[in-house]
Amino acid sequence: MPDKPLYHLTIHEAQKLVRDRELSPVELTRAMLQRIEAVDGKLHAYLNLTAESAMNEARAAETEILHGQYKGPLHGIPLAVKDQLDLKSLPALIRGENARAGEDATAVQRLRSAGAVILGKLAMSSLPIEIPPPRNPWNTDRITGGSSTGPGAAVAAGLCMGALGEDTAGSIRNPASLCGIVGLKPTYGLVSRAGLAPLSWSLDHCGPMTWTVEDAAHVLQAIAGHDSKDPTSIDAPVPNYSAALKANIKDLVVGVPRDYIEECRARTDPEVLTLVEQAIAELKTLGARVVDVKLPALKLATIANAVIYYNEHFAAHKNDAKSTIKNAATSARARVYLGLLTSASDYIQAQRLRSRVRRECAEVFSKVDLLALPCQLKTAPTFAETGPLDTLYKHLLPEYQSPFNLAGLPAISIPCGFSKNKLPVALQLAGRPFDESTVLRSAYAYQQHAGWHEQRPPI
Amino acid sequence: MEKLTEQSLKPLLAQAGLEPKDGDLESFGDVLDTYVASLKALHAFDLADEEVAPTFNPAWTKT
Repeated sequence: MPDKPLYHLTIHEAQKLVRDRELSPVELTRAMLQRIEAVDGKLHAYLNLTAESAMNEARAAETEILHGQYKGPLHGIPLAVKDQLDLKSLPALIRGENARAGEDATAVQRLRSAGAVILGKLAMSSLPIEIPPPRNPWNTDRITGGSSTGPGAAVAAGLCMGALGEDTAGSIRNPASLCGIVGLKPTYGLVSRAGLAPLSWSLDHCGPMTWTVEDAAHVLQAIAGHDSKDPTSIDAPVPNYSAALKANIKDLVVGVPRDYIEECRARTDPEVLTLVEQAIAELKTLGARVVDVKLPALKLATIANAVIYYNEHFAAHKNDAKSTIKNAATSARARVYLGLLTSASDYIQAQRLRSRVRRECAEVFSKVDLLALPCQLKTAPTFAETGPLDTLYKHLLPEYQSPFNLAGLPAISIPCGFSKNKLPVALQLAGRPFDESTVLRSAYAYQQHAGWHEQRPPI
Repeated sequence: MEKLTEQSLKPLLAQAGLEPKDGDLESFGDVLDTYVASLKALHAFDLADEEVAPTFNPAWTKT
């Protein structure tokens, strides 16, 4: 048995034990539920804990495995999902105060088909009502970052072994970077959006949030692939992501968009820049060739992303606008006004900028395999330092996450060290469309080399 | 809130049949003005004959 608490096992470690019948999914799920009971009162990561059905699923998984019906690395593994993804019969707060989901989101169905145990729904920001905000397990006076706030806190604190998040303007990578976990926003079209409450149809991406890169590969493997219920889903073969991790990165060329980093420098904490530069130097040590690249249109990518987001969001939620303005939380109300202020010509200009960004990226990716840059402007601020409109301001000025929603490219947040006040900092790696294998391979090589994942939050 | 932002927003609210919550336009003035200024920057960027092209170039995905 492992020399650490079961709730601190990675998916990869746990799946070997479960597969070899050295660890029962029942025992693992029970340990996770005990951990949630002990800690979540301080963190507020869960909105709906489905303890009873999770235990039933764990018992079913145990029986299947004992009968030789092992389904793969997620079989019997306790996971959770952001509120934005539907879980059959459970409240879907993002869809409205009294809304319930009729069926599971496709990504959730796929986790269940892979044998995962679903622990429940996790909190998020951008909800129509105010909820207690999840707290950062590295320092509970600090925020997790949003909008996948619950997944960030839960994965970092060992309240689930992995989670599904959603990313419209950095909402997987932002909490991943602030909470010291791995967050992967896949290529647009790789993971089905069916059963995902829309924030912005053309920018929403569902993806894994995990403790390690290896675990992200396992979760992505289960959820990736064509779904006829999502009109933007791509019908293409899904590679073996775990197998891709085994290769080294000596053949890779990593591009650093220095001009864009300069554009963001004034708003970026110098400690973040220093740690990210050190991580890029480590990629060189691992054999990658590092070159500077130019992407001039990126400086407007954040605002173009916001224009598309607010306009599509307003269109998707227009019928609720009256009650949102009357009753909803501050940022939700402000988003209605921003959507209203966006004209058709603004939206089209943003889409043209999107085309330009993609064209520039395509040109750069003919010479490099990856882009490397910071994943956050700052480490997690305290609640006292944070205002209700901060996220909206973040969406309006150049930052590091939104450009990859706009371009639809795969991008991963990977811990690359700690600030002087012991808060996580992350490197971001972005790749060609549908080349998650290279993104995961390089992130895995870095994580194994740097070893930051060996440190856990003090909670 | 700057006059121009307010002049733009009020008819849009009326057209959509919406009444702003008391105090919202004042408290959101700065973020709305920042947004309007950013929109101007977006339109000022020279995109030449760039089209709206919502799909990936198929050649791009070949690695």
